[in-house]
Amino acid sequence: MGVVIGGLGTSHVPMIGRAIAANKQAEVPFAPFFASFGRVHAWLDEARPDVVIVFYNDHGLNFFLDNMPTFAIGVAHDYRNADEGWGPPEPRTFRGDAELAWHIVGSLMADEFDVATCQEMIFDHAGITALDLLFPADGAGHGDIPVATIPIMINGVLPPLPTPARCYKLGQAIGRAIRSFPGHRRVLLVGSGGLSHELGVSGKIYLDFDRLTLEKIEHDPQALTQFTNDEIVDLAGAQGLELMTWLAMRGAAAGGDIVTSIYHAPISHTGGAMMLIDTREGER
Amino acid sequence: MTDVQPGKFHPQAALKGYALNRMCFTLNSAESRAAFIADPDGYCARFGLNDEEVAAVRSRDKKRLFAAGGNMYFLAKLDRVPKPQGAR
Repeated sequence: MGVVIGGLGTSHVPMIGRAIAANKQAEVPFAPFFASFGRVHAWLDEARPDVVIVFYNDHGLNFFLDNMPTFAIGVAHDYRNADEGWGPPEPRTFRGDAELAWHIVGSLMADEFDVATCQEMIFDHAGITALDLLFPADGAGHGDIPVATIPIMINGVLPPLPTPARCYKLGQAIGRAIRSFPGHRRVLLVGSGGLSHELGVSGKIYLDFDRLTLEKIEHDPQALTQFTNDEIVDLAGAQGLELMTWLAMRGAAAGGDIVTSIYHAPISHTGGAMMLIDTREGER
Repeated sequence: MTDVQPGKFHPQAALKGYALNRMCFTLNSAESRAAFIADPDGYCARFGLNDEEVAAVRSRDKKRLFAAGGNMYFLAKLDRVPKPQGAR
């Protein structure tokens, strides 16, 4: 059977990826953010995930407005990165888990979540940065990602967007899907996004809302599902809507205990945050 | 049209800016960025941008780009192309 071993939420602003690429994690003003991942790495060694399911929002790379799904799940054997406008990157391939992904799709459809399926999908920095934070290189650049990845895109680009409540319920349904998988998988859920920010408008960080978010994600995630999308735009900026990824993560990785978390603002123009929750039972 | 706030749903606004966003989406590729830099107006014309959209692209002004229907996730691609002289 599949086991949900934990959930992790993290920011993914491009400056984080650039610091990793330049091997300047200890030198940047937000060095404490990177330092906080030490606990995460120790936990990963002990908890041994086979698969990381990444909830993220595409940043105008794989999906365009000609056909914009609300939820899209990668069901491919592998995923590639691509030029996002900064210049052609070093080509990378991320191993998928088509067997588990298709099982999740079947379970979701039976659960009345009509998701789009992607047999090809270019993986955006939002997902890749999260993986690089989890599995860093010994030296410069990015490390090898030792786990399979299932990308799940939540539309954060153009409204109408799924509500916070719907994203949380999607996470819950994915949790059920993982637990009903007949094979053996240890699964970590990742929500990559936020916290508060608004691109194109500098300095729009909302400390109070970010603090509330972290408190509620830990103790009462359903409270955050009471917000409408428009309320989140007012409280956390247009890109604060990326909170959806954390809510989906927490829906799937319910209960458990906080291993570590950090809030560091600003990272670039974002309220930077990370939180790791251990949901293993009986093996700690 | 009433003021449009990015991130919120406005059916009228959703109909705006498709060509502008389409053009920006292509700037993911180095080849497209080179073509845009060589002839910004000509490149915009290939995607059928209207006068308001072309003027907004020339200005690189976020308020004008938003008003023309530009979406930040696609405008970010335009941000990554070096600005011509005289633009803000």
